[in-house]
Amino acid sequence: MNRFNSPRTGRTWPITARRAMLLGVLAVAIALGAMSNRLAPPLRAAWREALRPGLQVLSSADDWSSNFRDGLRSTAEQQLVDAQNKISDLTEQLRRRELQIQLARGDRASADNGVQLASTSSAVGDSVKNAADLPPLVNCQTVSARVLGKQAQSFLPPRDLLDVGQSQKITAKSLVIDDVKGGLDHPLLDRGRDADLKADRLVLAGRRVWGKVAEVGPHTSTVLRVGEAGYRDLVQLATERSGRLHFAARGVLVGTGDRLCKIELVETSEPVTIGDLVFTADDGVLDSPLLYGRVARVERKPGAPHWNIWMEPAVSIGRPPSSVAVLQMELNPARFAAGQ
Amino acid sequence: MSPQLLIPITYLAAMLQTWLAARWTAGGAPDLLALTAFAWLVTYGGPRGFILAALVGLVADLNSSAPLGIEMAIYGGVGYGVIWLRRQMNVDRMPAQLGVFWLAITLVTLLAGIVAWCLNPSILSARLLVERTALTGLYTTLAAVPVLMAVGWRRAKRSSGVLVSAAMGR
Repeated sequence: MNRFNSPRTGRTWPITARRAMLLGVLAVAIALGAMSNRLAPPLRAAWREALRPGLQVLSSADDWSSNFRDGLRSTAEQQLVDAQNKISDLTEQLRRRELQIQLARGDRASADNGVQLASTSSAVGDSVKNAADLPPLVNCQTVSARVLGKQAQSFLPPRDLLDVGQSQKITAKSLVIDDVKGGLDHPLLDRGRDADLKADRLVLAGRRVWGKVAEVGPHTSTVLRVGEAGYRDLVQLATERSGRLHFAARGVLVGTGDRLCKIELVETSEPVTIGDLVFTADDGVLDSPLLYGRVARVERKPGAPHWNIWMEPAVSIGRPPSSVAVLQMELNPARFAAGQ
Repeated sequence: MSPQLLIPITYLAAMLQTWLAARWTAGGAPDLLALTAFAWLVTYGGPRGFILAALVGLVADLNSSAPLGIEMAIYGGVGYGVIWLRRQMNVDRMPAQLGVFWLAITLVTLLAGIVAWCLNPSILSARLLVERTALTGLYTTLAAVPVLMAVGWRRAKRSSGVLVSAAMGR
């Protein structure tokens, strides 16, 4: 056996085969380290190439498992989205059914008043058809709303928040003055800006006009009823002859605050009789006009250029409807889609 | 276990180590190549097993960006020590195997860290070196537990089979 004599300590170490091998391994390692700059790049490149297939398999397996997990997750999410879509579809269907029921009730009430709105619709439809080759520029939609009663109204005001703030220079202890005439006397709807309501939109009870939206809050809005002071709108009078409506004079409906409201600016040259029906003026948006009421009283002063006409609203002020529909207008996307 | 089996196992370990390196964001992670080399050395390694450990170290060198030969020398040297320890004490039982294994892994990590610190002192502080050594030793030892258990179970099954054969006179 060869021996290795340590020059420093003087100890003698037997150089066994294993020790020689260890020394060889260390010598190789040192040699590799010395030549690392030259050897390392090609060796590492070759090693990376050798590892590449395995890494690709691992990446593929990882992708597959990720896709599988995503698939499971997206299936659940898709089911949730489908359910939400279905709920919204059903809600929309329900809203439409409610609206149809309201309209049907309005038709029946109008029929009780001697109005045949079906014929109205067809008569007006005939006149409109000729000009309606293009899709209409403005579409009408209705938003259902409930009319809140006295208790609900007394519950709401303490919780009202003003929609103004420091940007309008409002500070603490500023006085709040009610600028709406009549204040809480106005009926309150349970829809507001949350339903995209806007002031001056017509509020319908069936196909009868009940009033206009006066003010819109975040979640509620007030209604200015047809007969109330300050109410004004352009109307047209119609006479029913042999089951068809014939529109003639136009005038301005003015609320008086009494049971009957006035229709002004109807020239005396126009034929007007008691029992004539009063509709919204055709403004090119509605397919058929909406009923305001019926002429209850007519006077003609000698030499006066206009009739004095009093109208009885179709919806009695004393009997508010429990639910209404607010007429909303929007631009017709079909018109823009057609590039017209 | 045949030393030839160490080749595909080392390849798999290197592949997994490379693939998981980007995904392990914690301060320490099991060293799969060291696990392969020293789990084999503790359980099956013969008198010259340190040479195979050194070759696995060379693979570790190729997997890292440090100069070649460092891991090879460390694996070889520590492997030699493991074989020496096996001759000094009985490491047939699993606790002893785990102890030797932990010692080997910790030494390998510590020595590699010291060398890296000597080559570039700015990349490693003493605290980080100790922390990394402890965590790597712990994680790798934990990862080796099922491996050592499986090897022990396989050996027990084989030895019982041999005993039965001997008892039946075959």
